[in-house]
Amino acid sequence: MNSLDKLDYLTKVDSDHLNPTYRLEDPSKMNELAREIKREGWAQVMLVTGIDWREKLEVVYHFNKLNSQEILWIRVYLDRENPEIPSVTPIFPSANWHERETSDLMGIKFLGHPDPRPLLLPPGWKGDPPLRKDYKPSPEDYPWWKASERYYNPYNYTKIIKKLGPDEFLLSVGPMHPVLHGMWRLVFEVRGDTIVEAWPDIGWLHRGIEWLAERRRYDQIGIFADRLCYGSAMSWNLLYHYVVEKLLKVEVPNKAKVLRIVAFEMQRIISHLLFVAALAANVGTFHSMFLYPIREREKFLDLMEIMTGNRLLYTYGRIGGVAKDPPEYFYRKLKETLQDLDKHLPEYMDLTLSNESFLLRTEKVGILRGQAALDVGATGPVLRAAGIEYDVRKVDPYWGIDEFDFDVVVERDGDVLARYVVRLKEILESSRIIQQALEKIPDTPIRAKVPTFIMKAPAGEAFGRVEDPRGEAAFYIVSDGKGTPYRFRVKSPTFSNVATLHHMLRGARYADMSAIIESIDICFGEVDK
Amino acid sequence: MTESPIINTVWGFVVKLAEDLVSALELSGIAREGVILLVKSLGFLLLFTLNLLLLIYLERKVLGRIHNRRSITETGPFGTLQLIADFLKLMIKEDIRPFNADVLLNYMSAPLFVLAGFLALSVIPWADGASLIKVKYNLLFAVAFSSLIPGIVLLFAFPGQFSKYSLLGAFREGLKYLSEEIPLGLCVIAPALLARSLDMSTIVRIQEMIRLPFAVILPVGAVVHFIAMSMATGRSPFDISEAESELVAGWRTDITAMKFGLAYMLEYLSLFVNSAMFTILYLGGWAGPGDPLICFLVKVYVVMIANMVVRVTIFRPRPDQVISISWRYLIPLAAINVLWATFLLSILG
Repeated sequence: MNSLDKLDYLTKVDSDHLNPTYRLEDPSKMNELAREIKREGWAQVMLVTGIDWREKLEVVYHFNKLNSQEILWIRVYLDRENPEIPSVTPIFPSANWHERETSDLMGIKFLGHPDPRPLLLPPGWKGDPPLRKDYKPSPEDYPWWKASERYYNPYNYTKIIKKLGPDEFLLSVGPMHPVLHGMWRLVFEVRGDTIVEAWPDIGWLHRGIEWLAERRRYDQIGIFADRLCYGSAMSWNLLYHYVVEKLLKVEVPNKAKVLRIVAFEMQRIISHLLFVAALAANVGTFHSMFLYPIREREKFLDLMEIMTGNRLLYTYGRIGGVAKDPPEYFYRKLKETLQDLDKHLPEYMDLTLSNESFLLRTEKVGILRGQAALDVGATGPVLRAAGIEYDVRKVDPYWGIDEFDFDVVVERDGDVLARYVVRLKEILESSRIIQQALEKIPDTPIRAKVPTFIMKAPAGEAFGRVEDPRGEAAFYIVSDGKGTPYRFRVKSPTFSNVATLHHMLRGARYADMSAIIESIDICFGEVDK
Repeated sequence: MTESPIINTVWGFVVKLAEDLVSALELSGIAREGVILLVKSLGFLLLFTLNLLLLIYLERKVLGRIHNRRSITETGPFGTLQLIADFLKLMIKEDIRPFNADVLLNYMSAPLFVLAGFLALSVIPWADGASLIKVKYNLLFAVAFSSLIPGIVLLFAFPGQFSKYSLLGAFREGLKYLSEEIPLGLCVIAPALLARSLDMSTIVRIQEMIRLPFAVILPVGAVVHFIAMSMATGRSPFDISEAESELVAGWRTDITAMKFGLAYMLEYLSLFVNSAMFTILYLGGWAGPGDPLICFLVKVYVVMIANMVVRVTIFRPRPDQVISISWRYLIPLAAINVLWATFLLSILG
């Protein structure tokens, strides 16, 4: 920290949160600063956020660090008419997609970015950047009837990238394809059966969750948080309430905290079981292994139904607590189900890990490991499978999860098999956490005294992160003292992981494409937001 | 020579029908033979389709049981009418042809696949000498026509559909073709050598005579033949040319409606033909107690159920892994099998 304090172009800003925050006065010094930050040992750019303050723009960078609770905030003011700042992507490759997204939605130019194509907006977008405060939507913004040819044709898409070799051809996979789990596209440059380059193309499912949230009351946004990911709605919903409670300075009762941990870890089990099933189905249409985990998942969905009343999108969190107190028989059933799960998981391991044909398809496939994985922005199980121990539950504990006894699962190979094993073992760790939580459910109210309708929030900022089943998820909420967030920013783990696909797929066989794509556990709602 | 009462009854009815029709129309010469063959073929098709329906129903039920689910239950008693419903659905579906696709090849490819499959089927003896068409070297005939199918796929898939996925699927079909046909051919040679005949009935008669199926004498050949047969049917785990999660539907990505129905039927047809040939060559065909037809069908169904079990327990290998499995293990083993058969022949005289 000291060496950043010494820099003369950087001023320390006081903030109500405990993280080190600095303001950079001269944007052109950003490159120099990034090098200094890298030397300080900050690992990844977590998030790049543009904020439109009407008379000027601001960019906020969040950096994270392994084994440290702290997050580094760097804030830069930019001129609104000509917003330009040197890109940090050459130094922190993990900033790549975050900067492209900010460039799309806020109209900020990142000078020296290696790949400055639009990410979420279609090429041919004529309107203003959509998240600026003075943006007025109009049909002329995107005359798709003129631009479609340019966008849909993979040849035109990759002309922007590079020229093809004589024995190469392009294959557009998606936006509708059985393996992709959502609306997006991969453009492959293929030589024979080998993938030379892969270009993920997202933005087909962009629903403008951030834009919508900036026009809703704080108590209404939880429902949007659910819709970020159908695979783990609970984690997003609870994360939102975690962050908004930081903003409103609400203390959550102990029982609600424990219930949240139980619900959160149940969600992790549900999400990982779906992953285990889907991987088997995608690696060679293996439907036996698809259906067994789905059977276990079904039991947990039943439990979720008892707990929250819903099976997919739960909306269980409330500001200051949770929605419902589960009935007594819920705990009994949960215990039985967990025992069942502990019995069945070794069977799945037998069925796959001792199956030669499974190892043939997953071992040494889609390798991304060690420092390389950290640099390109991998997070969650993908990062832990790469041999790097990083779990927000240990690093930055929430709701007292550090009081529970559990291990961070780490594998070293960084291939599809390692990612599979990490998730399988994490199911067992989650099961351990829930079993401990069931032993000590405190007898307090489940909700703090908070008004149902939040008409006003104090001006300020809140940033909170949790370990989502897919990785490090965070919300960044800026309030100007009114009833709606001034800026609402989502840090999606899958967004970061999809960006790493470009590196994982390079040089792989085309037939391994399905296994590699599946191995990062895609949920497209949260990528496009 | 054993006669099958069931074949005599059922097939006798078809033959009598054909002859009645001919005499009612007062035909003679070539026209008479043609009409008789036509009626016989139609009768055979109908009977075989019933068998195919049973096979599809059985497969769905077996897979459901292994998957720990119930499979079809809703349409008709125990879901038996589901297949009829599927068939009707395929019949009334809209026919979509891709832009730029060759119309003739698009329509012709699926019927040609099925025709080749049925030609291979027509020479297979269901009991001693009881096949639709009598051909002298019927083993050669059956092998030729059952290995014609991938060739048709290769030729017709791309121009008939004009889709990159179909092209890739056809390429992979070609790869699979090279890796499956050589071991399969070698495995067919060994029993033919032992029986000194290219006639399937003779091969079975020899096994009946020595009271041992060739699978006992040629165990390596039986195993290799079974694996190569799984490849030849193009079903998982060796469905690299279809590869749902990579190529959408492989060489039949842009085949729609009833054409797709025929391509789907081909899969089962091919499974049946290959299992029947395996039964004849290695499991002693219809030899056994009771009615020869029943005996033969039981054996064929056992082989097919074994194939289904393999299907649900093994992940699909990559195309390059399929090639390496074939050229590293299957082809040398099949060659050893032929040498073993030659050796046996030379000492037994």
